[in-house]
Amino acid sequence: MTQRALLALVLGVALANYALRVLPLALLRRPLRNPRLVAFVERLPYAILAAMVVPDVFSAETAGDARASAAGFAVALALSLLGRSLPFVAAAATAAAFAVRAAAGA
Amino acid sequence: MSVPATFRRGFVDALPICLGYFGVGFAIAAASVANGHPVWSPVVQSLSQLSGTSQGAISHRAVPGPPGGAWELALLCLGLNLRYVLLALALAQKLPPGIGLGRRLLVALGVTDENVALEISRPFPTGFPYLTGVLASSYLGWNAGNALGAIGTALLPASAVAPLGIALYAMFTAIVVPAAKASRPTLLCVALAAAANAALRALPAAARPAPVASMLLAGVGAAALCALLFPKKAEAAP
Repeated sequence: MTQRALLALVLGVALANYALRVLPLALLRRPLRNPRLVAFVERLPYAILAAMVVPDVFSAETAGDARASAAGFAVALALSLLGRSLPFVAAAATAAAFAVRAAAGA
Repeated sequence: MSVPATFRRGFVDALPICLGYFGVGFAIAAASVANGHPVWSPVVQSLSQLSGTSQGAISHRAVPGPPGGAWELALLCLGLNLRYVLLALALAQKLPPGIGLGRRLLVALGVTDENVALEISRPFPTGFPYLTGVLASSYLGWNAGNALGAIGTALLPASAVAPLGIALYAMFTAIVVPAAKASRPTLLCVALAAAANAALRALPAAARPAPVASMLLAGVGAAALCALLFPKKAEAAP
């Protein structure tokens, strides 16, 4: 992707997200009732996020080194299971990735 | 309460969100720049909207990267943020009838998981000043975090910041795991999506979809299948 395409993408996504937020507030105003539709919309982000993580998190490009990213992912999984906050999990996983890379001498 | 007082109350009530957004924004912007994004990328994104998930999705692709892929990425962001419709509808139930279209246009900017959860949990009616207070607080934290994360990372050499890339994946994990822990159907759904994406990516090159397209296929397929198998009643609050 070029910088020009990136700018178009960034502005396009901002507009689309605004539409998703404003249309229900301005027009719809009645809650969704269809249980299948609700189930789909609620779980879709988790499903997409999971697909964004696996298998890419195991590739060398993620953190500059496959062992470093695997270590970071293991720490992120463990701390998320313990219910730690998002910034905390991100910081700890990053620290683990830095530590493994330093230990590997990269 | 007078208008400035309710604005201030919204601003103060949202300070924990402001701090959280500062940390998440800092990490997303830092990872984004470590992935090769120019400094303006996270800065323009955070100025134009409050959306950690779509910003994370855009940031996790390297720039400059392979050509094309922008349309798939736009669709992926749309899928990640369809839930804003549910959040905005939940908020719409709490708005006093006097809030006209112009004010709804502004209030819509602040529709995020955290802000709406705060707003609909208030025991008092949350009018326009309160909502703009919450918006101002969260917007400030998000943008301060993004600007500092982007500029700070750009000052360091690229090879030194490579491990920052893991921060995005750690945040994605921290969003998915608690939801999967709380609900069996959601656990099945995310496991299915991850397995389907891994399988698609293992296909021979001639049959393999582009990376972002395969994430979209796996995610939409898993969510659709689980919606058919395990429908869900709408809740009053998200």
